[in-house]
Amino acid sequence: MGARRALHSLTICVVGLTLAGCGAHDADGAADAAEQLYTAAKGGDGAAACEWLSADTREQLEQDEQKPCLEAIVALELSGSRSTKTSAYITEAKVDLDGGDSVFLEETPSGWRVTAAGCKPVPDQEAPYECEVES
Amino acid sequence: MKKFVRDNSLSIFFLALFLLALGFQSLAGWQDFNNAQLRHHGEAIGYGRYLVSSEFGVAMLENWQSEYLQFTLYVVATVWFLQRGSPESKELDQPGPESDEEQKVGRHADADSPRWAGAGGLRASLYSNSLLIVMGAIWVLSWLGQSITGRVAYNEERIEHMQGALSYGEYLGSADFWERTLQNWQSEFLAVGSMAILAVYLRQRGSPESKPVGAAHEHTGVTG
Repeated sequence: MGARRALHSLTICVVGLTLAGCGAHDADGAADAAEQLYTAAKGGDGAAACEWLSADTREQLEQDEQKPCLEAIVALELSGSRSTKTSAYITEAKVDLDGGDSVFLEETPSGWRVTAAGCKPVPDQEAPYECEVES
Repeated sequence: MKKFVRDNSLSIFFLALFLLALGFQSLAGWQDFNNAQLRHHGEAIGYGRYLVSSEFGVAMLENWQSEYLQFTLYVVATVWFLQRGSPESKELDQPGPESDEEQKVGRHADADSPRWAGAGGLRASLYSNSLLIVMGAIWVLSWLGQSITGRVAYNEERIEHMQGALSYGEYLGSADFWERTLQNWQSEFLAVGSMAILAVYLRQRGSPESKPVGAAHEHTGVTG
């Protein structure tokens, strides 16, 4: 194989892998899950909202609020309804909503589930967001 | 066929080792990624998906870029830098690109010289530096790939810890990018530097990377 062909093949390999590896698959699904949770919680449908929480986060919410998830979730201060930006990487995603909230999600066998909601950034970029509910 | 294998055994040996090592790296990396997923109750991913993920990409490319940088630097540094007694060095009175006559360029080319060596002008200049150009280009592409896939893998980790994602520019200035880069560079520089020095005093019988066993330590640029 000549040097030119070898370099050409390597370029295709590197670029292909890089592009393929750039995003998680189904980033739209993450935005959809975040919007569904917010719509249900703000509409008073706690049961539907809890369906979009990850198992760990649901358990943590019930433990923190000392009440069932479907009651606790509708009492959270959540702001926003439409996603403005989705950042999805391999199995994790962050969705920013028009009300200023950010939502963190992870991929599960059932699809994207929310691990933290009602999140706001703090001045220190290296510190975690402060959230209404998190696992 | 037998002759082809014998005549190309060095390339075939390393290509086979490369493919084996890459295959096992991908299997180990996949297992490691899924172990980490399970530790925080995340979803395990399939092998095919791992192979096209940035997690595998950055693990592979961060090593590629440093290897190609090592050889690129070695190719160019040995034009001017010398090491007394080392088979890796030219003789001490020959630093620099040398004359056209010594390099068989232009009208000094032999009948069986590569066509571009005898062509003169831009083609001869390009061909005179073609090893550096190609190795350097592979280094730059690999490093670019490392930076792009590294950002994705790092942002996955940040989001898992409820931190904001970094832009590409922010990632290029991050400790993660430079730690991945420099941990590979330092090991390559150490290996190459120590090879240049150790080959002054130590021998491997039959290897062109070594001087002949009986060659004096002071003899420079001699291979066995």
